[in-house]
Amino acid sequence: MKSLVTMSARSRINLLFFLSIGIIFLIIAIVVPEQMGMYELISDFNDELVKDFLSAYLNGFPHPWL
Amino acid sequence: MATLQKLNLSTFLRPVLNRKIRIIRTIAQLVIFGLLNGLMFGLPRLPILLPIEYPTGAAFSTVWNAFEALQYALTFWVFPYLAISIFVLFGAIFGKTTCGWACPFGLVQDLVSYIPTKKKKVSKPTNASLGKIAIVVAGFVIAMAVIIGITYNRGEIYKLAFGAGKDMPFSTLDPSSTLFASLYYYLKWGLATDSFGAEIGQWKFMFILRLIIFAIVLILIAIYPRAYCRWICPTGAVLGFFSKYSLLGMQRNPNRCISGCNKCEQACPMQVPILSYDKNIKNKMCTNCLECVEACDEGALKLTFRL
Repeated sequence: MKSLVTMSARSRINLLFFLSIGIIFLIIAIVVPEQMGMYELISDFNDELVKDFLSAYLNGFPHPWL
Repeated sequence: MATLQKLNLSTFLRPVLNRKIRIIRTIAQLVIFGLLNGLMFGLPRLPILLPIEYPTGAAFSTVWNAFEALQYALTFWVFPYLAISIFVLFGAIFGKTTCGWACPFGLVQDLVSYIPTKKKKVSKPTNASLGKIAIVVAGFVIAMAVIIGITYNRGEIYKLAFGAGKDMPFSTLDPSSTLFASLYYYLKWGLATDSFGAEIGQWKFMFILRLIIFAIVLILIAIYPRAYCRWICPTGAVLGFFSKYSLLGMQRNPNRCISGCNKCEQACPMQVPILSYDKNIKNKMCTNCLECVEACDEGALKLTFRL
């Protein structure tokens, strides 16, 4: 019978380990309020935050918000 | 007239028909680029992270760049559980498929590579060595973010001393951020005034540095296809660590590869040494772009879930 296994045992162990870590961290990120709160805050990235970020590069011009 | 009669439709369309996968991939990249800019179509902004090179500061961005989220969390001394989980899960399941099919800066590089200029290749050992630069970049940025986070933990005022890079150190100079955010806003606000062009004397050093870096990267990707992905991109470097063990990946059938024509390696934009793999192509640079599949006349390569 032709073997369907194409991944070595070591690679499979590594894969399962990484998947476990990923799922556990994902659960923590969703369940812990402070974690998801930070990302929801960033979802409201608006013009003010962008201006603050870009003002480091541009002095004087453009300042349409003044 | 006789020449026109000899030219039939299939001959005319052959360059297109021979590039079906590339056309499909380009369409997919453009559709995803549209979705990533969904704010302009009325889509909401979502707290979703993707391992792609697209700045969160882009005007119409609907999702977050996972590497920026990683930096942002670290600089606020918050453990980046979500960012790490996204890198690990995407890398372990899909490998670097997002690099080849979803990343906007990857799309820019592919479009630049379609310009008919002479493309150059480096030797395989050189390619592998240059790929380590991306790992160094990723490590340096993460270390910087941790240092900034430690400083923030002592007091927010100390963090301000880091200036523009205080929240996301890499985005300060990232060419993707320059193209999709800085230049866009510069043009948008500049064209709204009467004095556009007169402000060049107001440019700060960091803006000039960003433009220089962007110009250098642009020249590099015009000569060496996907050079930024291969040698510089920290997002790709982090994903590449997990993609070697990924579920989805390229597989080679050596029994079908009888001619040893080398067309697959010639076609690969990432210069993956495909023929050196017996079965599973476990290379941290492979983006599953399927250029090798399209180039292979013997059907020796396929994209599959390998478990």
